[in-house]
Amino acid sequence: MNQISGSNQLKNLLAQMNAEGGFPISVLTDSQGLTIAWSASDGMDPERQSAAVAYMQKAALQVGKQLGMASTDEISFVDTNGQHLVCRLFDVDNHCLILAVMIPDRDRSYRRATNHAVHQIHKIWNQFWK
Amino acid sequence: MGMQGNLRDMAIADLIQHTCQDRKTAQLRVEHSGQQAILYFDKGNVVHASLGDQAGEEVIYAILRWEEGKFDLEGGVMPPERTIKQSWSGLLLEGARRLDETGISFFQSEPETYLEANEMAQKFEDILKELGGEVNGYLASTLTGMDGINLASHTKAKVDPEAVSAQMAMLIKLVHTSVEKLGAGEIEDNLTTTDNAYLLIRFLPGKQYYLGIAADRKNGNLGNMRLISKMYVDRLAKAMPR
Repeated sequence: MNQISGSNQLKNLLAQMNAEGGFPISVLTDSQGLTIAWSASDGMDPERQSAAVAYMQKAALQVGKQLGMASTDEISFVDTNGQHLVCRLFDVDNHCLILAVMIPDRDRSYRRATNHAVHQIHKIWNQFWK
Repeated sequence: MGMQGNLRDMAIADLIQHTCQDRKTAQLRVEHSGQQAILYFDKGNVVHASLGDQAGEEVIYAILRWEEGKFDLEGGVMPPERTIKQSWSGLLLEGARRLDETGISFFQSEPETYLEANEMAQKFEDILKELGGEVNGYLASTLTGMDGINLASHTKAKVDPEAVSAQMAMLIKLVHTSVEKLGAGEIEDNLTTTDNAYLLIRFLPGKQYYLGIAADRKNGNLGNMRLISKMYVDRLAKAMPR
């Protein structure tokens, strides 16, 4: 029996999300920005995106503390062309994870796709590593 | 400071292991049925042994069979000569192999039967094999004691993890000592990055064993390696005999 591993399931999940949402790159990182899984079209650099994600998470943590806000759910970084990087922060089994997705234009919807991915990540985690 | 005792309370293999792990320079006298063997340790290595006219490694293999008798360990005694080049762990492994042929048990603290020990090693190898399926770019993994002896290993590439286990044990000991001296807290893991590979080492709880994982840099991800190592360290620890 050649069962697909949890790590490969995460990679497949991100590839599927990118294909369905038309996203060029998505990465799942730990809280330090180290890549756990990624899927990207040619020319995109997952390590660079992961590193940027960790900066954003740290900045969001500071902002949240300063303003007395609850834990961060989503951070967006938008450029003047409408391309944006969306980071979803969530916990699984006491591990803080970040799902970062590059959205190519302003009008493209992503929330449902990322919600679904976060839900699936929980499922894969519980199936393989709980 | 010296230590005396009876071989019924402490086997010779245990005495050698503890003296070497403590990196002692010492003399160990062992008496059994009117014979006296003398072993010399220099900074944690067995460097000389004599028994009557005999000297060298064969003395060690002979006295590992002694189950009764008295011992006297005296610290700070320098060796008069050097007749042994083999590492202490190598001596004990070879001694165990020879004893295995005779059916005599080895360490007093060892699993009860060799079958149990083999089953345990197989269990660890199965866990490492499973780990290999979870680490992106996986090359090899090893579960090793801090004495440098492998409990289990698994490899997908043309690498021999057993060949470097002892050196990796020394490396993590050095890192541990440095971190302690710096007062930098507990080590979570130790990462070595080379041109084409990542090597990650993580202690099991209790710091008596470590898990080492190698992955190729092209396909490996650090977050994936760290996460999987954390999870599998817990699994390996749970599989350890109590």
